[in-house]
Amino acid sequence: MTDTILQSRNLKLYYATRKGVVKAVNNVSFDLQKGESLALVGESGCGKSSLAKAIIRLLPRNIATYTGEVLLEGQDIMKLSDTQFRRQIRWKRISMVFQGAMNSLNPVLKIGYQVAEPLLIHEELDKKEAKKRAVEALRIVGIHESFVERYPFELSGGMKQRTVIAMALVTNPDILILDEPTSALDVITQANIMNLLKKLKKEMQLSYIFITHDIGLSSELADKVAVMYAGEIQEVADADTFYAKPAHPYSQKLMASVPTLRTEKKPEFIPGAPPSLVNPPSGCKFHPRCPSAFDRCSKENPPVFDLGSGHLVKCWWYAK
Amino acid sequence: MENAAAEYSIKGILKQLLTYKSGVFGISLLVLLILISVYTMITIPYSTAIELWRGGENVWIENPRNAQPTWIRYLGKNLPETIKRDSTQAGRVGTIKVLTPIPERNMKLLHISFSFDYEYDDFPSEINIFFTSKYNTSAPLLRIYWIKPSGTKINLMTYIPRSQEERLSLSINPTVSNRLYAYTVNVLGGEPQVPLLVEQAMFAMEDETMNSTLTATPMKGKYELIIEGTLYGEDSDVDAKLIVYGKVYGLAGTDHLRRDLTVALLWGTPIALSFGLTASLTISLLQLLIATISGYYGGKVDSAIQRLTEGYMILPFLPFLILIATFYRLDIWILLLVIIVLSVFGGGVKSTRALVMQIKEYPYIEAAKAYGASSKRIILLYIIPKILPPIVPGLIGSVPGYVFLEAALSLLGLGDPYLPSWGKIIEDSYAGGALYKGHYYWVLEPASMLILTALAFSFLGFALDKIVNPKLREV
Amino acid sequence: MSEDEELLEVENLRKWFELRKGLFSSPLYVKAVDGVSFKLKKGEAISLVGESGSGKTTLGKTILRLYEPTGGTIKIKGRDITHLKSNELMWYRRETALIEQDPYGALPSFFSIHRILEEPLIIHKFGNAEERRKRVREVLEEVRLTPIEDFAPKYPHMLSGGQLQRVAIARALTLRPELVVADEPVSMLDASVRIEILNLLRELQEKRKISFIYITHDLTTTKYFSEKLFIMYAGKIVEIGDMLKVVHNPLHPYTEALLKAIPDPDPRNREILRDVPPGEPPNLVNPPSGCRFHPRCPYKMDICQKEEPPVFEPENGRFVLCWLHAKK
Repeated sequence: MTDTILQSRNLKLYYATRKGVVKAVNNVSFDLQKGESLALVGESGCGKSSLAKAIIRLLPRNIATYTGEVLLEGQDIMKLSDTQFRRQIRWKRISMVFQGAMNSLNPVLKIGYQVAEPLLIHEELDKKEAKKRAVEALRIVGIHESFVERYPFELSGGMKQRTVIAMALVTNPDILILDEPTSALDVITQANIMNLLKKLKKEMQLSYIFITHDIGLSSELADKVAVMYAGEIQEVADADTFYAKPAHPYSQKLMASVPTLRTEKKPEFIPGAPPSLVNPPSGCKFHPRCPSAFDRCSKENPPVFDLGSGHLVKCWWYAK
Repeated sequence: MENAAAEYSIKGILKQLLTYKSGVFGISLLVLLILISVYTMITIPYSTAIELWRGGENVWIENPRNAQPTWIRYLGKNLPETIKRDSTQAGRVGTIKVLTPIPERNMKLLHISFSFDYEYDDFPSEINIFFTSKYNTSAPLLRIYWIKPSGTKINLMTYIPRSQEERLSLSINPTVSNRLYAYTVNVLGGEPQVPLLVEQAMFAMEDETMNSTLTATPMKGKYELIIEGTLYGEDSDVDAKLIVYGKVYGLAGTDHLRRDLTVALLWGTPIALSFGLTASLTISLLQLLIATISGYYGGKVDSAIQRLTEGYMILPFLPFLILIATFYRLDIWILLLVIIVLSVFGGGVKSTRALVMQIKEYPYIEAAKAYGASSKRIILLYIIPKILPPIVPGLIGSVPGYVFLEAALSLLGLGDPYLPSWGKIIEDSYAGGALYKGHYYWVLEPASMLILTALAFSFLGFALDKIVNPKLREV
Repeated sequence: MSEDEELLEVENLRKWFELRKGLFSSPLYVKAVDGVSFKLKKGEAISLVGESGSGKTTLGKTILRLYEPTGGTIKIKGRDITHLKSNELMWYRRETALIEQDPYGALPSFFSIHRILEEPLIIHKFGNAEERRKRVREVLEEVRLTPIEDFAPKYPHMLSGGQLQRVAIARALTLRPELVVADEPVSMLDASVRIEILNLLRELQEKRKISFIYITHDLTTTKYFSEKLFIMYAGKIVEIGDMLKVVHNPLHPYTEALLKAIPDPDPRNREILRDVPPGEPPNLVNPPSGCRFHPRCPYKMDICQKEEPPVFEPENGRFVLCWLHAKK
């Protein structure tokens, strides 16, 4: 029996824009076990990055709604003040590797300093100690000590990405959120980074929330897969179940659309376009594109059905 | 994916503008200014405006000097308006003219009576009588009396017109002054501390307040001016026109030359708008074209344009402009041309060029090259329409700058010598010591117009900026 | 022109970008494309696969003469166009087309879809307004942006990424080109529409007998587009062969690494570490001596560091730039 480290219950994050309220994260609930990695899969604009931001509470200014519970080992961190959250949670317990972060490294600071910075800010260590820890973090991600004094432009893409991972790990967090951590990298470099993440997970007992649009890539890390569509989680299943037999029609379509190299199958595409998060469709958000939609789907938003052993699906087909 | 580009149709932009408070405010102000301009150009044609403004004192003789705007009365004292009585219009309210011929002596007896009610809290600023006389041999002999509401009748003077058209300025006439002094002494039973001015004595309450110019207060009631005269000759005649100048005039008041400031304030509007808009539009568009050529072609063309721009940027713009304007008395359109020539290679070229350098790497430009679009076509049809939207807010926002520049040059005495513009009014008021003398309206009115113009364009610029540069939006 | 005739012939093509023009030092070059030769038949579709920085995009755009080649020759139907000036190239522009990677950036935002598609026709003085309208309708139908009346007057921001890419494809087809270069045409699209666009491209390529160069970093998508694979690494094409043969039996160690790196959706993936070479592609200012892959190659031999491998043809129709396949 593993321990649950992070639980989200009915998490909501809405943005207020000139066009209306964007329901980026809508009633999202999931559990993350210690040492487990949850892959959060979805097309662009489905709200997966917003969910990450809601968990680590890095929000833009135009928040309309931000409610629900996020339990970190039983403690509801949504109840903490911003200052408490910054002091106790962000980076100390939950770190994040942002999408494209490798291109956001400060070009005028040495990478050793940039890796040490979270320690200086969050743990108020003295510079010497922080540098020691930064060197150690860089070593763990496979960057030699001699690079500590270098600037980002002297690093290759893969090394920059390793640096960003080191920045997230230097504070020894329990949970690491990875938002498309390899999106700008080449396949071979991507495979190397994935190897690194696999090793780190094992060695450091890390829990991952791995955000990606690529169902093939998600299988590299996922112990559990959550499929997100239109701000809602549509299906959660452990990886073996999910890849063998996805239950939700959207998951099935998504799986079918993936071009594969080794198996002979003709990929299909999903007709139509993802819905607007301002005026989402009534009922099930996927029903306009769903091949097996029936009457009820357009009228009522389906609840979550448990297919057994933690396989959760939000689809009327599974109503008893 | 949000892309604001196709919202760039004029209709779309207007629609969006109205969703911003600053947009609504800017547009309302601008519409107001445009309406003023149109109204002005229809009701006071250009030539009339010049005539009015440059016509000299004769055009405006019936106006008070340095009068405040009429509406100032609602804010405080009931200041006097100008009162006119004309004997050629006998029969009108308070105007009587009787001419009695005495044929046996070849004489006529003249009786003109002007009466009016005076209910104001302050004295008039000046009193003039204009005579028109017709006579053959001997000039007419006129006696002028002043009857106050108390019934006191004062013999102001005996007057013999020397020419056909004559102005009798009571306010500065020594005889009148002496007679009124005697009258004051009579009322007070002794000499006054500070002798009253003519118009004060004529209108003062007959009590101890006449002791000083500071304490004198006007007596309210019906006043009468009587002119009695003896005319010689058969077809001799005399007409008189009395003007009791007030202390307020019209919507905007008058300046030191009695000119109605509304003329200049109104005419200043189309001038400011056209000057500011033409300057900023021409300069921005020329800079845009130069920058695009420089950025797109690169190489030697780019170097040449950039070096030229750097040269221009070092050039001290204002001193240079002052130098030119001092040597050649420039009319406003030549001035505009000079400003344009001095600004085409300004800093805008640099920033727009940077934008072009970025846009020329866009995939749609490369695609256009791939299907064979010529450089000229790419510049005019592919790059400029892309850059235009982001520079429009700046263009609109820079309009006030040029309006201020014109005003500043006018203030330095380097503006157009003929045109009535806001800058000219400020220059006049400055030269006339407006603030020192307390004529605040004289400075504040043109200044307010300048500020209104600036606000209109700035607010419009802010709103446009939010529309075409979505990054600036709050959300 | 018969089926078998070569449409395009590229011979030892080089494109070096000048990095720094020193007043006293000799200039530095990024050797983005450094000696590439291949032939393309009329109506043949190939996939050019490489990682970022391999020079694949530069190669595609140099062939379209969007860049001035540094060396070598480009011949189309036997005519040498390597150094023609832009005014002599108009016919070539008409017979070639480019499909860009970024559908959001590839279309001018201030033109309507109709105008976007009409532009190439106007530039090449194709017919009158009515004939142009007809052609625009034709291509819109071909890319299935129907009903046409709905799409033609729209502006790019009103369309989704997939629809925009269809417009870009339609634009490439307006002039009925013989050679189309598509530079990562689906990499910026959502996974669910990628296949749709690729299928469309394939269908149009076959229908119109277009010679097609599909440039991509994603080996998995090539399977659905072409039979022939060109693998590019560090400015050179290192392997050419039929899709299936290359996938199942890669000859070049780099191709092998590329294939190993790609995850198919399989939950077993999380249990294993991928056997891929470390390191990253070399700096093209100073590429490694000999074979450019040798510093990362698991099968590296002495000769690899010293001598650049020539083209070997170990099997019929399969070409590889690797000393492992030298005739023993």
